[in-house]
Amino acid sequence: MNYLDTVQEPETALRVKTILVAVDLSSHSERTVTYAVSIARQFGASLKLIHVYVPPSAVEFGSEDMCRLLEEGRRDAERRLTNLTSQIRAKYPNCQSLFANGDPAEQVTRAAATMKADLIVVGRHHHTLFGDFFKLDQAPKIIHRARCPVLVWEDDDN
Amino acid sequence: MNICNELIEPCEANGNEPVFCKNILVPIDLSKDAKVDLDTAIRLAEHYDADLWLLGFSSEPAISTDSRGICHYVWNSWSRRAQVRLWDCVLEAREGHYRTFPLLVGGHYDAHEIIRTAERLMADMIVVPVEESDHRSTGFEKSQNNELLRKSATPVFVAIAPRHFTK
Repeated sequence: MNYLDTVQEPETALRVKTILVAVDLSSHSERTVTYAVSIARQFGASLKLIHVYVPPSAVEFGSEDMCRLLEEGRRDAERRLTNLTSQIRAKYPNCQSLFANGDPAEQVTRAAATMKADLIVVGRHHHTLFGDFFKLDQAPKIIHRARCPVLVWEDDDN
Repeated sequence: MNICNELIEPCEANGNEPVFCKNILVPIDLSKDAKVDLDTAIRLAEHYDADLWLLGFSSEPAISTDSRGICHYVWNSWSRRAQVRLWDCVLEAREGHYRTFPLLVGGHYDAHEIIRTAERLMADMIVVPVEESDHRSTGFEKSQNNELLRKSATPVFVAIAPRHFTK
């Protein structure tokens, strides 16, 4: 019997098989996903991109035209997510997308739990006085709810 | 210009996977008596074949500025206790990943000090061990870890460990 056949994967190996990447479809998203791709490559993990569309709270009282505009906005976000996923899939085929509505932190952590994600990657680029004041940064909120490790990555362009 | 092409193609052209994690920094609050869960940090360091740096913080006792003998004794004991705790962590971590090194800082667990050390060390990742119950508490938003998340230019890996996994 070959000795190599008896060698098993060491217990210390880190298991990262599914990575969930939260994107806000801003100009920073591509960089965040690229960073996540490099991690996914190293672990041989599947990549899931999630974008959460936040419907404005006043939509219930808006006119029909307003609703149509918002619906167009939602479709536009969905289309941009599909485009981003296609772009990434050309380089890393094991990539899928997920579009959700509601509170970003809640939806991201719920999706992570549903798909049993091993890691959530979140980009951070709202570090401004304005952003801090209005708590635009979702990373702390996601960490607050997450049940799996979270990697917070800052875009170098900040 | 597509940044994906720019960043990924050179790696594929070389046939190598992108290497971006050579130094991993793990801040530890030594003033807490709880066991530190370094499992994820060790596994990450093993995976990336990186150097693992344990940055220990120990809050100095208030009498440290007093120069009298007994105060010196207390301060030295405190300092040694922190060093022993840090080395305990280092030696335990070395069982999983040999290239683990200690860094001791006197003072409170401070996000800015962690960020400064990460920059000096040119760390590629900061791994923050957090217990599940801790990060869910309301105090987390005001904690130094939260400050670290907001200010650090180095990627922060929040290693959330369920309480029952903690040794």
